[in-house]
Amino acid sequence: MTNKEKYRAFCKRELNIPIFSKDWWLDAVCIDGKWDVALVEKGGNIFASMPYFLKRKDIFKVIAMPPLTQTIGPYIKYPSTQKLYKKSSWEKEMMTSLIEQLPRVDTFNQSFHHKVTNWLPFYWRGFNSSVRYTYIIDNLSNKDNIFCSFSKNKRKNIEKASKIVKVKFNLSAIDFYNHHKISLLKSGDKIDYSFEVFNNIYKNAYKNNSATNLYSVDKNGNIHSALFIVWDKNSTYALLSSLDPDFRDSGSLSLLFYEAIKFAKNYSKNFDFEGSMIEYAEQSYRQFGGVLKPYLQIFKTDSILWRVKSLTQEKILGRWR
Amino acid sequence: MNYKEKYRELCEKDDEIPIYSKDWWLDAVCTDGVWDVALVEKGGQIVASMPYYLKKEGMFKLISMPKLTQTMGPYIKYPKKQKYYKKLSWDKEIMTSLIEQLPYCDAFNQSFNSKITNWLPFYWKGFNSSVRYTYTIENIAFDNLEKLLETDIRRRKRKANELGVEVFEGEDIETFYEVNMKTFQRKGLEKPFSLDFLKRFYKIVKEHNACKMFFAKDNENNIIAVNFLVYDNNRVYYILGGIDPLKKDLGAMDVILYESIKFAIETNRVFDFEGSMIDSIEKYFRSFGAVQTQYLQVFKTNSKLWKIKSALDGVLKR
Repeated sequence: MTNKEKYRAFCKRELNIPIFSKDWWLDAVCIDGKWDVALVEKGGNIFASMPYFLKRKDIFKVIAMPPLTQTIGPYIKYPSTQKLYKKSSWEKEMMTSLIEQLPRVDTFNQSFHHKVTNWLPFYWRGFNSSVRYTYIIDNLSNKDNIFCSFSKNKRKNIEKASKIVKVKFNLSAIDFYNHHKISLLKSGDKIDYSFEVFNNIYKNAYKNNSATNLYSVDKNGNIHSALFIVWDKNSTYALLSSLDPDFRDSGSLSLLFYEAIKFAKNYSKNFDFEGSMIEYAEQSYRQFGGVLKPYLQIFKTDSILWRVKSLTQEKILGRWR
Repeated sequence: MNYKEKYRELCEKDDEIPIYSKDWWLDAVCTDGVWDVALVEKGGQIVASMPYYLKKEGMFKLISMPKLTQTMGPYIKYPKKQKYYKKLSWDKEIMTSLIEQLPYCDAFNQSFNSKITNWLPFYWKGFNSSVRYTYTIENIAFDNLEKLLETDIRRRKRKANELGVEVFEGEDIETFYEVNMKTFQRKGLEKPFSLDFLKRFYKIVKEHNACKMFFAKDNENNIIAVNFLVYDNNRVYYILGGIDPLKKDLGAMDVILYESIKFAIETNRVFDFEGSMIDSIEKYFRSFGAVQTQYLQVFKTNSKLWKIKSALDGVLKR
């Protein structure tokens, strides 16, 4: 059995593997390259896994983040009743073995799930890190009154929106994609993922009972906004949100988020806003009472040529600060 | 009154400012450049401060970390009973104001106190970050310390006692320096600071009752291991140590660290190993039962030339 086959079986058993690392998710998103996986086995059991997305970029071979995928990286199981002292050495052993299995690439870039807080074994192998944030509402089940924890402004928005629009579920893949595409076009932006990738996610995630989408319609049948969510055992993620700029003032997207958070209580412990490092998005998420959750971006550049390329590109794009 | 003078007053009043950001600490360590401070005031009260160390390196002007200083960065006070989302906007307002006060420099590099977990306002101003670790022992009763120790440490501690190794507190800074430098000599490394620097540093820190040195001697009265601790209200930091390479198997360092941790626990302080990113050291600290704590290193390069220099250094180092 290949690693990939073993991993597919592992994903079926191991319910804590985040959705973005599941085999069927990777099948959906890794379309302009291929995915594979590093595994650490002991006595016939898998104790650690790390899928990766391998692709070519011009003359370079890279390990990169697949589209629409928040995090990937190592997943480690710990022997029960492990002492803290042993935990770090265990992580070192597991991670080092995973790193050694990675194919040689010109550059490596992965964001790790926020549960992974110790990246030292990667540091010791020449990797670098940066901190990113997502926003999370945790312990959903303990929160009877989610609405009260929102900011005043948010609550006002939501109340207003519920008078203007109705919330419905399950736009078709093409309708959702087109709504997003047109909304972005109206604001002068271009959609940055393909229909093919989105359609793959839509099909696979619906099939695995791990996705739905919500949208808001007014009495004239205009769709103001749409929100695509996916979930695993631990978290529900706001994967994509689309807001028609013509109806920006109705507050409909806030209403969709509110409905999505309530919906998420049925499936997961947390609601993850798929936080953005973008300034204006941050403002909106924190008004939902989301808590900043740091996660690690880990990278390494082996090719000197790639380094020079990044440096010159930065110059061309005028990103000198 | 200029900001630096205001800040000196603040440091005198506010016991929560970490030792590494105190005015007198900065006087002691910023010897190759100058330090200054950014302040945010509201209604006549200082609500945030951020000292920085400015120095020249060749033709470049840098904000960097002073010697012996683990962390710096912003120190922010929050209104009581502030809601979480308001706290985040407070962070943004305050940090942005601090950043805007920083003088132009070719490169900026500071490690932030582990209490600072949100660096987004810095990100929005073009900074970057990396995660570093320190190792700490906290919230344990002294009786439980023994249980936390790994077998190796316990064995070496026992050995030291059997061989008659004795630990005592001392004030002999010259002997300290001699033993401290042995590590660098053995490895053929350049000395990171001079005896004069250390003497001046010691004088200042001692005046503020913020340091302690432990010495270990063998049964022939040779000093075989030393360490240097500094402390503030909340923490004891292990900033320097040294061991005689010929006597390093006697377990002297283990006993010294044990005494140091004991001092921290007895005075209700956290013991901070001043974590290292080095493999073997990390393992050693952990064997005392220390827990990994994250802190942020935040940096930004403004000068093209410095960027190219750093990139070339990166290539040449390979």
